[in-house]
Amino acid sequence: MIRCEHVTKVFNKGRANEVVAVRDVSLEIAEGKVAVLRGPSGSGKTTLLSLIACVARPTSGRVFVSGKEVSKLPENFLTSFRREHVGIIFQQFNLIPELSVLDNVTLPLVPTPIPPRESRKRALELLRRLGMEKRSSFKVRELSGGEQQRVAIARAMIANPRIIVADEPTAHLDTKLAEEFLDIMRSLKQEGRTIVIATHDPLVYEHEIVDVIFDMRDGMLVGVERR
Amino acid sequence: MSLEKHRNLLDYAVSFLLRRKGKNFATVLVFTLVVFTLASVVMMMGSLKQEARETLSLAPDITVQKIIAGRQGLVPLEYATAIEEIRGVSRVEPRIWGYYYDAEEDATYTIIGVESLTGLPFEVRGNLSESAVIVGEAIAREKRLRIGDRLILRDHRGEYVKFRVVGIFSSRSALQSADIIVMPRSEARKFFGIPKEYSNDLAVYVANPAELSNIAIKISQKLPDARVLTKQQIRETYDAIFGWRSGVFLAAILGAILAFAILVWDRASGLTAEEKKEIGILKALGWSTGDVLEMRTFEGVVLALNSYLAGVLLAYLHVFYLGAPLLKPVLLGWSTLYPEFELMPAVTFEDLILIFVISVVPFLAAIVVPSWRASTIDPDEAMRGI
Repeated sequence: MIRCEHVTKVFNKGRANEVVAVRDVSLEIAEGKVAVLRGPSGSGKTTLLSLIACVARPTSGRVFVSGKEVSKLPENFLTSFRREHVGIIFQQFNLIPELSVLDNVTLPLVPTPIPPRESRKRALELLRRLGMEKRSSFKVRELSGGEQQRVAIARAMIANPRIIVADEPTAHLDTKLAEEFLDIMRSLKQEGRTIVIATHDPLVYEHEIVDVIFDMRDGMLVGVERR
Repeated sequence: MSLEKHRNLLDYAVSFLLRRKGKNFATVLVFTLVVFTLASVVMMMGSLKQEARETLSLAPDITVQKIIAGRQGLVPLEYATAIEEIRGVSRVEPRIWGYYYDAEEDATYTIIGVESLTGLPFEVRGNLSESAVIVGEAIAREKRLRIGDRLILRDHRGEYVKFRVVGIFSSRSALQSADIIVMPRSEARKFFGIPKEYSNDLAVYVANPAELSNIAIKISQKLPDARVLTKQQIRETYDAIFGWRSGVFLAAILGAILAFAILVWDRASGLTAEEKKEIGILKALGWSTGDVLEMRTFEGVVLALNSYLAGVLLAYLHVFYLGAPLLKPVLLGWSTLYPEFELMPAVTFEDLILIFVISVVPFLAAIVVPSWRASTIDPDEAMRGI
């Protein structure tokens, strides 16, 4: 379960360019559910997603992920917690272009004691599942947008996290590829994983897999729609 | 912590290096050049110091000179008698020697007069008789002399004197003997016009080395106008010339300047936007600051060790196989004949550590510091596409 209690995130605090990106947000996402953070650009959904993904810390308030208060964890613990519990799918995919598909997927396991052979085995299994097995030795820059996203999904899954967060995952995809993405998310949901997606794409938030929608505007939570 | 994790990071560091072949090859090239320059100077100085030490081991315990108007003058032989009377002195030997400028070769030779060939600080072949000389290999080469040839020199009055070459010094002792001409003492005395009752200096030998400084003080007290130099003082002078304060210090400065140039180059170029983004992605994917730094340190160590080994190896070949052709004109002395001698290999563990500390440490700092700065950024920035 994910829970935020009166979470606020301020950038450049105390400076002339201070920005309050998230303001006093409280929400709860039950385990195994698909939640959408919906709102226009600049509404604070990516920042809230970062807080849930343990990539950033709140300026005030508390964030609980899988029963642990992550907002107070020291950096090292937060890093390993993130690696083990959260898989991130970035808006721009954020793959490393010079690396092969396989190497990109195994990247989160490099600073772990898992032997390379085991990492590769896991990565190939995920790529097979996503229909990318034959592309495993390709360089990422040789792939299409949809293929790159599948690599990003495989990378987010490699540590077998219980939570998947995705930031505007369909922003660079056509309708067909966006539907393919949602199909993959459906299968992840069926495995009992919790999924949080920041988006303003109707194709995503109107999709049947979505259980709850949090509407955001100007950093504030302005509405909740449960299905 | 598991070794497997460090191996994984090392593997990733190597793959990171291979992905940026061009930039890394240029870095290795520049860094190898730095190590090569530094190591060449250190090795050459080490070899010269070694040669100097070997020469010194055969030098007299005490050298006595006479100072006239602040300069070295001829020593009256009665000084030798006075020194022999001091208890503990085993032998006093008046020495005849001087410099000779050869206008034809534009070179300066050292002429030494000896009673016999035994006890010379270098290997000789041949027998010394009247009008006979033994010459250094460099002189023989420059003047195309072979044993049996005639060597004509101009004495102190400017008159030509004929000598017969009866021997050539072996190349092993080249540094000490390259520009030396040895002749009978009486011939040398006549050649330089040194009166019978004088010599250039006195070589004093003592029976007990522990008494050396006491005897030197006694000589100074007995002969207040003499300059008394002990072996230790000469060793210190050699060290000052070839040692830390001169040669090695010069090398350190040179190496430090070049290492600094690399540092500035690296810092100026810093991490590219791509590299920063990559670090941000790694952090967002669960790499800690320590993991990023470890990976970058491995990267630096792989680059630095390869450059260090290549630089040291090339320097060894340059100095001891090729005879340091790039450094001799800069670092050697005034004699135009000297650049042809052979350097004896003499590399100490301390030399290698010195080269390592001066070159590798600043280089690692240049790699790790910008990475540390980048790796402390919030991974949140990676999610925003940096």
